[in-house]
Amino acid sequence: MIGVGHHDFFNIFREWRDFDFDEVVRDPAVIRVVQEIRVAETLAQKINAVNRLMEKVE
Amino acid sequence: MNRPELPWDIAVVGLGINAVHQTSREVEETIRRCRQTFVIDVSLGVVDYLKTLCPSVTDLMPKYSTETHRRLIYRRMASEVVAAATQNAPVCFATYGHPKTYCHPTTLIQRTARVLGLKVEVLAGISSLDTLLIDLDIDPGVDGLQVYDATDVVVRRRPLQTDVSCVIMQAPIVLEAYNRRGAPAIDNLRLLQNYLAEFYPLTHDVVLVISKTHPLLESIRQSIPLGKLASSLATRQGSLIGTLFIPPLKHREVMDQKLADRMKLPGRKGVARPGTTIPRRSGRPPIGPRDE
Repeated sequence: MIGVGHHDFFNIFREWRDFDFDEVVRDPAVIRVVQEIRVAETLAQKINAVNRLMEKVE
Repeated sequence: MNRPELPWDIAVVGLGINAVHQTSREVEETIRRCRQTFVIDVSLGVVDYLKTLCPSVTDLMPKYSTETHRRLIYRRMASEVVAAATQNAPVCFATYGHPKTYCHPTTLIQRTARVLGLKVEVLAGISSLDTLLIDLDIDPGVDGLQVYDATDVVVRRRPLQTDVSCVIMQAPIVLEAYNRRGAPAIDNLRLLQNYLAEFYPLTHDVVLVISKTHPLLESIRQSIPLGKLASSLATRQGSLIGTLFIPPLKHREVMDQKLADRMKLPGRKGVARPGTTIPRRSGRPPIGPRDE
């Protein structure tokens, strides 16, 4: 809906710990999805792969 | 004119609230230097204006699909920005308001970019909190300011200080995880009202504020007794925007008078050092600080 803001309800859905970069980049699932982003041949594939990465960093 | 390349892959910028009139020169210059700009802003003329600055502008508002969880919407928005940056940097993510004031896509972009080795710079914009202070003529230096998201305040049962001004963001969509159209859900609004009523009397007036998004518009300020908050917000058909301002019930008393006295103007009763007076030229009227 227009103009309602774009926040995450202030962490009430947040399962994430405080973002631990070192922990995230060691996660095999993250490594796999980063490789998918690198080799994606189309922008649509890239967007989908980045979307999956978003799930991992939330 | 050749402009130096930006040293970032992604610029995240705030456009302000009042259409293009609150967009800073810093932000404009950044957008000019980006190859592509992704924008979230429905204010009149903003997208068209950005098209005069950047060769490729993508409006992300269509991503706000209805009946979709908001987190998925923000991921989609952020994914487009980051994906574009991996193949055509620098790109810009431009959002209305301030990009670090209640703007989850910014966090998603920052975290994902870090994993991918992309550089991100975030530039400030005028937020709805800034415009609210103007619309209500409030200086938070007087009573202080507590700012909460409506859902967060209910879910966490945040303690509220009733002698401090209180701002509740996103009140009309309290406890609403999905992007929906139509009137706000009365049951959710009642939960918010009941929680606030644990701190404030039902007769206490709160103010719904919707800041203007175009210079030709007027900001909306609607005073509502707390006891009628839920029903009042629920009847605002289709209006899911707005911020609540709750004035303090009373001003907080000074607890340490000795320290407070140190902050008074020199020459005030009980403060001036012995033998000192405010210097005055002869024949001048007695303006300025004087003994009480």
